[in-house]
Amino acid sequence: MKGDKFINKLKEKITVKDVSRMPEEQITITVDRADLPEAVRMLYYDMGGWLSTMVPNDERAINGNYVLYYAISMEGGKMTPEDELPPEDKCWITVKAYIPAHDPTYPSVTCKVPAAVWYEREAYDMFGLVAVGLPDPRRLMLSDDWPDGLYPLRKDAMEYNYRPDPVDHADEPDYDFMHPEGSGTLDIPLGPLHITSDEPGHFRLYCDGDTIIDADYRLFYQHRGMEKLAENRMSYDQMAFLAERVCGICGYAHATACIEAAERAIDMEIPRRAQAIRIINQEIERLHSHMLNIGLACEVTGNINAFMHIFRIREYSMELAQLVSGGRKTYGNVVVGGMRRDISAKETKRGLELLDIMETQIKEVWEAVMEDDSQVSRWKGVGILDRQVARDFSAVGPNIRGSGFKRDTRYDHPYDFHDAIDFKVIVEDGGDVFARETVRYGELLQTISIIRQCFELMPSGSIVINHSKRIIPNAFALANNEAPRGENIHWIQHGNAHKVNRWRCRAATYNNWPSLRYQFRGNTIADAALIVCSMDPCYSCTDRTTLIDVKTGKSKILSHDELKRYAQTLKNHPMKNM
Amino acid sequence: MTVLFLMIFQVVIIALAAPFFDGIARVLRARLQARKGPPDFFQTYRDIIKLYKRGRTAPKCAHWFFTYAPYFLYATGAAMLAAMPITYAGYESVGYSDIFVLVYLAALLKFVFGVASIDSGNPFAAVGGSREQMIGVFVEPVLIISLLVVMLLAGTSNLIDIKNMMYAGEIGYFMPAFAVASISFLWAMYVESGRNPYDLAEAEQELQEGLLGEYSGSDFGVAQAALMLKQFAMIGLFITIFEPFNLTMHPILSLILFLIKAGLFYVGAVFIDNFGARYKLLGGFKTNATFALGVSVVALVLYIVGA
Repeated sequence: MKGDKFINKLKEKITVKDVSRMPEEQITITVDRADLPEAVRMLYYDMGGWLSTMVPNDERAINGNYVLYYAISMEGGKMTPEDELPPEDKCWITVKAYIPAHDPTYPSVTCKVPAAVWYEREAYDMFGLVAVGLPDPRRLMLSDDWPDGLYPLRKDAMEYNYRPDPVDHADEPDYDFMHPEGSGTLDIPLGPLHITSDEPGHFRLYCDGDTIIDADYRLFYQHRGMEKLAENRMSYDQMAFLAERVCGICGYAHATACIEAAERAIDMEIPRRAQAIRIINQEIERLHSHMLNIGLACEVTGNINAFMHIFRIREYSMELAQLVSGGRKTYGNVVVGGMRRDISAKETKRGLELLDIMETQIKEVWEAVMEDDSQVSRWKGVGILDRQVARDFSAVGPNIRGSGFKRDTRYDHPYDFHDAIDFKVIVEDGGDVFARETVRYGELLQTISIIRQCFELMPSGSIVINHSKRIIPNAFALANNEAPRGENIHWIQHGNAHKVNRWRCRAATYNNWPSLRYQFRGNTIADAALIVCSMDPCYSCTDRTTLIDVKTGKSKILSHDELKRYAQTLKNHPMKNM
Repeated sequence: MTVLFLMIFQVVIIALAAPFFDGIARVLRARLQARKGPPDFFQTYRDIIKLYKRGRTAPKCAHWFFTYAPYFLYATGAAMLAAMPITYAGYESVGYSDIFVLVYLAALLKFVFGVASIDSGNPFAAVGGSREQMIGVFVEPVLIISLLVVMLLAGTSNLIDIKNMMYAGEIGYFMPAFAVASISFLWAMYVESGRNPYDLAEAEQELQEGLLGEYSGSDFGVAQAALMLKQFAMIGLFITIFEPFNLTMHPILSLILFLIKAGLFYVGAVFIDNFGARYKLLGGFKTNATFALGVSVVALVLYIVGA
């Protein structure tokens, strides 16, 4: 069966206690927590896996333990073109480990697989699970003055109306930024209110003159507590709406991934027509998101003219979205088992016209941008994502495809209607901003072709199934889809009474942030905003998890003071090798 | 006395008219960018008035320098404009109207701008301020060498004398050194006027609002108006020295003509600044500056060999 050869190889070195499959291409193996780092490392580096997500879960009510699920996408290392698994071998292997409730520790996987660093920091914040040996054990999500011993995603964590006492400004602990030690570095804070993104994220750039030698960042200023909200209160139909609001740009990808995870966990097959419509909506989202990003990459370098013209074209994609879904941005048409809204023949006809308009105009604008040497030279050689760094941190989306990896979840793990569609994965080798934007341009054209194919091959029939399937408590599955920014992974474990027990939403940008630090190094301050922009960061996507936001306003003010203080003192650090 | 009156007169008129040309430039830019833009040519007036009505904020760490810098900038811009013999070229010669006065006023303006941004305490403004000085390093040699050629040819640094010699046909484009110097000066003028792709003052994305980052309200409005005056002063310098058409010596008529010519330059620059990305200081900017320096040196060599 699929994945057996990986498991057999794994069994040579470690004891695999249990193997289960649900659905067929998602294999869950249980190992002892002491074997966890080695098992993940073998799958990741020796057999060509990529860390898709890691889900900590509180299953004390089910089996008395906390559980960690490291979901690894087996697709080949891809460092060379040959280094890729054949399609029939591609699958997910989830490494599961039980953590006893009385001793919530486990050996850190990050030491062997750096990609796990954010996940393990989050596991501490949310569940109090301590990764022993984790090189960077700072808080990730919760504010620095969060009360000790309060872990929001534990099932018995707290009352919903519990509000910890606010801490006085003066007593609020400082976040410990990683400083490169050395004389004459200049701290430049970027954010938390950041002009380029208008979303909260605080970057510290350590500069020698104009050159950035290192960077650190603090995100998660805007806590929304979505996962917890869904767990206890919402039905699946409500969850689709909630998931769509994870992000202001690529929300639809979250909505479909969330609902498809719920569907896969009970092996529910939805009608082909509904699948095709889901693909159309997702690809429309990619259209407007990529145009937004290419436009911003021009604007950040001062090319307002190109930005405005790209946004003029982007308006057609918004019109297309309105045509097929009824909403310009938030489509709200996914339900478990299908879709809420069908597409008529008249809409298809107009949709095809819009696609033609967009295709011509996108090509024109891109040609004009490429002819502008000053623009191209601002993009080339800037913010290079090293191939090894990309491999180590499991980067996704145009970010990694710009570094020469053929990594696209539509191609690696085709879902929905993608098996009927012909498309090319766009890969560029430069690794710089130029390569990433070129990938996005190529994908725009591919996306137009995909939507066209969907319109033309649209299967007939119903768009929703009759609910005959029942939710199976404790069944879980993950669902993937390629959002504009890369692979989104949602993991759902069903609970009782048609409510979800655990929903883990991993947005594309979550896997891209940790490698950003390496992209900054060696570039100038003038390019910092451009580098962040070319990664196409989604702050709101990564800000989804934490529980209570009583601190939000306050911590912003603090950071602002902090920012001013740093502005006044251009600190010198004692000498130390970097 | 008449000259003093005319100086003040021309500064007031140009200061009042400048936002109008800025308004035209904005409407034109909006059309080129496929957006609607301001409803008429008077948007810049409304902006400045609105900003002026607003309160001011200043970082706690800033000193008096930060507070008064916008007014100082405005006064310097006005002083530059006053030194331009636009209306009073036909009257007796005044020592104030001199190339050296203008060059030093321009340097003073740049200095004040830089110091004020560093004084604001904002690290991005400080980086912007130091860059602005770097631009000076690149541009000033070109500016000085071009003007030096003109001064050597005319034998004087007095702008009124130079202008009159130009009109009398004693110096002009028939001299190769003069013609070449006008090219390099044109480049320097464009850079000094702070437009894209050589713009840093408003490099809002890369430097987070750059130099003006900490200014707000009335301070910001005054600083904006001062920068506009500076642009007109730089254009005015070019028109005074390098523009050969002498139509009238009448103060009012020549002022109107000046406004039209300067306005054409100001609005026409939109066709350059609207397209393309900003240059990085040590990238495209340096290459261009080196080339312009080469052109100005050619002008100097041409003068020396007596062509």
